[in-house]
Amino acid sequence: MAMQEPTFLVLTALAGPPLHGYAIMRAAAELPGGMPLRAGTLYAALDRLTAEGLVEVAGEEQLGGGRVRRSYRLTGSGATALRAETARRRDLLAVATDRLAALRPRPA
Amino acid sequence: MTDEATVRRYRRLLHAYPGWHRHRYGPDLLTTLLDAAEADPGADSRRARAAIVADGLRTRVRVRGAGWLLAALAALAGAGALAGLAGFASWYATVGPAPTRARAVAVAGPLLPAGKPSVDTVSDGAYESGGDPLDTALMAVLGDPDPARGGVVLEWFEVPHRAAPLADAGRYLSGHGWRVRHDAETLVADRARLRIELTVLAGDARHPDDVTVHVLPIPPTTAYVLATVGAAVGLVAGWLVAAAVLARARHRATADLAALVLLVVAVLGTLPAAGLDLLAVGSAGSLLPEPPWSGYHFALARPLGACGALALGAVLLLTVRRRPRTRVTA
Repeated sequence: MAMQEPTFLVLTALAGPPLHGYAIMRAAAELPGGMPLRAGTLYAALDRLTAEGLVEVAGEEQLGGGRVRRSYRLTGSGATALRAETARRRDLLAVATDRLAALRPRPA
Repeated sequence: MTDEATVRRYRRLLHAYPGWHRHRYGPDLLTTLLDAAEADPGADSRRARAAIVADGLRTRVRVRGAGWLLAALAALAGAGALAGLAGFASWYATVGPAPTRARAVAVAGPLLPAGKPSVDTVSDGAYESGGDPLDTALMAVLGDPDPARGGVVLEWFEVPHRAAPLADAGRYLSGHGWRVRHDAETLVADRARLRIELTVLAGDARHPDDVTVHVLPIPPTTAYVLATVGAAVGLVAGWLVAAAVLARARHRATADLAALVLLVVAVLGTLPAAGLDLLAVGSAGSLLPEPPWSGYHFALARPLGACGALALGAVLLLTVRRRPRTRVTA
């Protein structure tokens, strides 16, 4: 099944060093073709992805006052899922590119 | 640096999220929101704050995949259970006193066939015995299982056939100040907190009639109103509990999976009685409405209902008392 866009962006943002929540939001917005994620959307995705074992908590910094800053990273399964989705999108892109190239402009 | 007022404001907004989410992600989500507000003051706009609340409420009701079926059944079970509870409590808080046998005979006298009734039951409380062996066995555990509307029930079997008994009774009662409604078999007459229900299973010239007269306090409208409110509250509460249990079970902690199994037991256990309660609430406008807790008349529903209620208590203990933690794998 195709991955939803926010999920794809979060996994792509985490395909590198571990990032904390705000850094993931910023990275998702700065990706080419990316989009701003609300914190609610990000944490809904993180909850689902950690439950599915695609993302894990890499570290936790205690900030005092009942606040923490957690960093998240991709697991092996997460990298596999991202590779599979990337391949699916690449194949789709190739087909779309070919079809567009073969498309002849209609006479006016 | 973020000021304390902003921190307090975000903490308040995060209460829109369910408890399990606040315990698991709250401290981290708060930091992320504060980081975003510090980097971009526009992130702390009124619209952004409304979005936090909306996301939190969405998280409360969100159910993924096939979980919607369990959530829908839990909502129905919750609706029926709370409708029954609210209906039962308000019925006996507001219903008028049950008539004595003498009073019942006095008000319904001209409607009664001659001779001694075959069945003569007087009930002045919320309960009457079922007489079923299963009911009797369960009474020790669950109390008297047949809540009733109270009043005096008199039945005559095989009395001489009359041509139009309900029409005659209706004319008599209307003439004496009763508000009368009837269909082909039953007449209902109300006056001064008292109701007469006259049912005639009419025979014909060769076959006699069966006549039942029930004199009882008028079923209180408040009970049906509050049962409807209870159904609405239970519908939402059932869905929210199921959504929370399903969301927590995704992380596969043993206690959360146990809560999920118990929720299934609770829903299956309470659903038959709860469904009948909902049907009874829906019968409020009919000639002979069922009491809003009628589901608990259903013999099979009682042991199931007891198991379901116990399971639901365990679910609530497991989901409310136990705080989920996020595992750090570094």
